[in-house]
Amino acid sequence: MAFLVLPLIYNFTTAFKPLDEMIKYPPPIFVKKPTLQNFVDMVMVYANTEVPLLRYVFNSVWTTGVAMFLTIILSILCGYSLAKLKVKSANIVFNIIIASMMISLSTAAIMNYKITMWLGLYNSYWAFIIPYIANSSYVFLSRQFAEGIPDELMEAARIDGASELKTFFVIAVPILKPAIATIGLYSFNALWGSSGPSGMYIVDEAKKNLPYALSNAISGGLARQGAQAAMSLIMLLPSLIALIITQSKVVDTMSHAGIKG
Amino acid sequence: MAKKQDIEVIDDVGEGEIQAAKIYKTQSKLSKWWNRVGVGWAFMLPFLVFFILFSVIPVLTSVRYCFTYYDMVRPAEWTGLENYRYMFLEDDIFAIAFANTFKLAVLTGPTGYILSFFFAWVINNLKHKSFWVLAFYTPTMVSGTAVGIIWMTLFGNTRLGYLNYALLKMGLITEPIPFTQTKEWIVPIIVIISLWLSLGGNFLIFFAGLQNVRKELYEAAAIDGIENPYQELWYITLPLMKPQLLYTAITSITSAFAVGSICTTVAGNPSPDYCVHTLSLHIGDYAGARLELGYACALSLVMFAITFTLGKFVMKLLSSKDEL
Repeated sequence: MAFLVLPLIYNFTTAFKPLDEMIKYPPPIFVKKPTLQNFVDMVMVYANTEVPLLRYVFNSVWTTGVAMFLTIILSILCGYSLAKLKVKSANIVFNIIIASMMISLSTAAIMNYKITMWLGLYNSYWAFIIPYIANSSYVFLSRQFAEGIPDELMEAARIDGASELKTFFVIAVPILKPAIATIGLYSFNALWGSSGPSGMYIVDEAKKNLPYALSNAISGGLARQGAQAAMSLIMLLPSLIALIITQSKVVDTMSHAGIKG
Repeated sequence: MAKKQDIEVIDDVGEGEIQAAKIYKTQSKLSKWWNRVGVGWAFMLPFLVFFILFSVIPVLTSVRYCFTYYDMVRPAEWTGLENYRYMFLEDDIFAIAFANTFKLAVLTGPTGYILSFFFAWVINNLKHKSFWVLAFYTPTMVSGTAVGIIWMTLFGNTRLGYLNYALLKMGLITEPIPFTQTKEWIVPIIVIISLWLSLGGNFLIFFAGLQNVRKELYEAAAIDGIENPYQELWYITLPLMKPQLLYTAITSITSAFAVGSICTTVAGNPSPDYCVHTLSLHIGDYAGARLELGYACALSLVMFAITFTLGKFVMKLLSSKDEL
């Protein structure tokens, strides 16, 4: 099992390795003389840039947060409807969603770009958000988890006079918690690490995101390899935190969701 | 809501009565319609808007390129079925890629699927679950470079690679094995790495699904004479997990057929004798390096046809309702 966490450990230790240990082959997994020099290097790279590093951090946190929130809402609403609200053509919609998960055309990227521009997202924070919030596999996931919601619970809520929206929030959302946590984690990881929109749609340096800034400023050169290792650790940490938070929620629901059934 | 109005209408005696009754009637019709169809669509609408904009329209408008020669520079030139003729009759590498993709998908897909369920099930019964979840999911999370470095050092071709070093030390071999340059070794190495990579995602879904199986059911089952954990698994857990089983099956199929970047990391692109040249690498070749987007599009559609057919088949097997 140590096998599974090995790359993670490697990621951690490399960030603290002095240069001579970093270029050794085979790369040592543990660090002999740990140093913080890499982090100093990383900060130094940004000492002279126009935009402070914190600005990029803010951009990333903000856009990732909003996109994640919207992704979750859209996915569980649609998934719940597909599984439980018995719309006549739900099956057709569902099949299209499944098909879209499996089809990936490189030519579609051109149209994607055009639509993003047409919506006026050029040079806007929304370019990080809008194109990514409708993910068919998350809807599929929500639908599958929503199938586990007992119909009797929903009926009971309706008879008590709850509106459909209220039924959704009071009955479905608590049961969907594991799905929500999982979608949250997946979308966080996908959004947090992607620098794509920065290069394609964003002109203002001050609106670009962290992965873009990091990969740009610290690319190439042996001297900057340390800074690069520090950077990859810094990019990894939030994902790790996201994993711990979301999974504690998943394990948590077991005790709560069970009672209601 | 309807009930309240009902009472109001009855209370409302006088000249407005007929009018009120009329309004009530139309309202209830509307609200009936709303409850039957409207709500469902309203819940789906926010997703569908962005889904149509960023998935459906781009795919539908660009599918036509599969019948053209298109290089992004000149306008697409209509060639009819030429791309498909070339693919099936002349493109030898397509045939190789097709076979390789199938081979890797068969080797990794089912095994990864069963393994991740098994681990999720075992860990769900352990203490310190969170720690184990962390351990299983990290491979999916760490950067591609770290994965490359670790695995490539383990399977290093010279005597400095960990595995070669160990084997030499134990005296099992006298010369280091060039693992990532020998056809016989490349495939197993890729299978191991992609299993290791795919474990996390499925595991997480299974694990989340297991949390939804209610404990009372196990207690009830115990009364009905189910004793050992294997019977519990077969009669209670698995049937209740059908939705999650279906989800992971579909995503496993999709990702098993999309294997590509690992092959490049391990064996380079093109790999020796195209031994692990897969469909997704073939598509990447034409879309990226050769700029023959029309042909790449045709290839993608063939790959889609295969995965979708398989997906439908799995849905038939695992569907919890008789819906498809």
